[in-house]
Amino acid sequence: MIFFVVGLPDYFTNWCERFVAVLAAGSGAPAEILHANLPREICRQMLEHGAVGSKIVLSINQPGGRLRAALAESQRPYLVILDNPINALCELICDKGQRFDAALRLAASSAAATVGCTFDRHAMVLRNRPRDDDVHGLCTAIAHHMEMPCTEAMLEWAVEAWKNFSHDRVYEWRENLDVVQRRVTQGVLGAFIHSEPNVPSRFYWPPCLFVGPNGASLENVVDITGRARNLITGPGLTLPPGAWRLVLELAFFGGALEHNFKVSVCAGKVLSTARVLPSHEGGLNVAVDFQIDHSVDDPVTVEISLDRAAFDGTIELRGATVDVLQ
Amino acid sequence: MVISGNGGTVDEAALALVRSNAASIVVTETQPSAELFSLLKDTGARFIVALEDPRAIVAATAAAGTSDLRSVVREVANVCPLLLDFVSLSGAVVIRAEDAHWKGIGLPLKVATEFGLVSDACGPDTHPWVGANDGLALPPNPILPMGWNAMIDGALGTYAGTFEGAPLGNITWTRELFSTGGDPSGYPQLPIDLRSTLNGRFLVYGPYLSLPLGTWSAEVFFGFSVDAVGQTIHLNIGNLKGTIATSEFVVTQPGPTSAEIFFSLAGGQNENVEIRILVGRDSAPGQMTFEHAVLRQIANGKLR
Repeated sequence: MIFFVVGLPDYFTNWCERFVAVLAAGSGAPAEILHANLPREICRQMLEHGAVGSKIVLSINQPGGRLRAALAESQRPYLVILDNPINALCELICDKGQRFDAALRLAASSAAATVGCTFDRHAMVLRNRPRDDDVHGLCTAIAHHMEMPCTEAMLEWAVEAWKNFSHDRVYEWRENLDVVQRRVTQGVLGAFIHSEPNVPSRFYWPPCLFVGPNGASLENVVDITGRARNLITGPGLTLPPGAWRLVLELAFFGGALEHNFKVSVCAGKVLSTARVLPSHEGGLNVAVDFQIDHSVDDPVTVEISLDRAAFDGTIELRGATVDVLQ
Repeated sequence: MVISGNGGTVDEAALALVRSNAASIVVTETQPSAELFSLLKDTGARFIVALEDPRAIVAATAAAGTSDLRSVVREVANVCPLLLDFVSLSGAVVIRAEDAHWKGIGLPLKVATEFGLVSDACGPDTHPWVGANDGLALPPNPILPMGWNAMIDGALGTYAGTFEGAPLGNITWTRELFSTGGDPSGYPQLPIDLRSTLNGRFLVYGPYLSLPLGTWSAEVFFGFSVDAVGQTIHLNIGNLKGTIATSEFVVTQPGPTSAEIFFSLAGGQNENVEIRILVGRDSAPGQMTFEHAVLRQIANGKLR
């Protein structure tokens, strides 16, 4: 028997998955908690733990399109924890020692993938962390939704586990963010914070989430001199399912005006492409429409490439905005 | 619940497990992927490898009325090296076709025991598997066109022995498995004009079949006409990426002759290879017949 918990990589999800494991165990052997995001990871985890046939809590932080569809088809009750992604960002950095940009990608991708599960009528969606005096009621509701009996001992365990976590750290951590980090965090995660209960409709991807031809983080203009190649790649972030319009704020200078550029939006496969032939020096907005459906498991990557070798010229990415298409 | 796949079963199995709420699923795969191999290798999970004389599979397909035997032989020959890899894994439970033709509960009991599914309460007479394999029957021997038995035996015969535990013997690729540059849909059953190698086109090439990793020799058997004497013949071994090995020889006398070429397959997984034959210059006089190629594994390659 497998019980599913979908949520951001933070303490709230962790607490929920442990409580579901306690519920699933009942008075018998404890249920094992496995973490996987892709179907192949589920297979590996199940085989590694010899878990097929026993009680398992499968915790998923970034369910891809196929996994979301399979969960919906199963018509089983499961939990979706759509906490404020800034909590996840803080905990990934403070508790797991992740770098800011890696943690930001993980939190944003997890939030986007989790949003995709919130419309399933079999999902119990938990959007906010409970206050201490609400934990008892929340646990009872979870047990009811998951169709498992809940004893007083289980509730006591859950209340204690919740109390042992310091929820104030995130406020202290946010105070210590510098201006750039604050702006980037707001651009990438802000849409999730202010969008409930609907799917976020606009994201801003700053240049620092992209890399240049040498793989280093994008900071200034990119010199296009050299052979045909990818000039700018990023951000590798998951988007919720739907139809989207990407608008890249680009700028071209010098010899770049003589060249064709290709913009590809990929997510494991090419979703859409556009050609850019700059006609004047300076800024140029390029729009590309694409669709994220239930077959897409991978994060979205934008590639800006040069069609043929160039002798000189520069290109600059000033930012990218992604809007949902109605 | 049973999932049947064709190279994509790792993902499909996981998704089926999520969708179905089944306590267990049975996954069958006839074209196991490198991903499945590494998954089973890394986890040490128990799994069944069902082995049968590969010639019997071709025979059964032929008996069912398939006209394109070459494709059937090709498909079966490409699976055999993969099966050898899977048999070598610690979690492999090997069952053979002859076991399946036993009456009674021997084979089902073996499978159930290996997977820890035997209940002590069940005696031999009360097992739910009694009669589970009573309906299986050996396929009839089909009547094949002249030369096709040699093709099947040559390409698959050694694997039948290897599945029984014998070392890998010679593999013979008969002319029926090859194609000609002039007519890719046909095989080189008639003498070929050497001048048909125009513009670097291969005279004969094929069969693009999978071989186990290792170092190999391929001895290729030809016949040449009198006016072909003095011509330089190039022999290549190629795969999807390009040429693996090259060799050349000068035709010194008319009649049957052979040439040997050595090559290594050391990639991460078994590779499909082909032999390519062409002449050193355009408009070369004379004719060539192509007989067959004998492949010998000189040294075992490492498993993935």
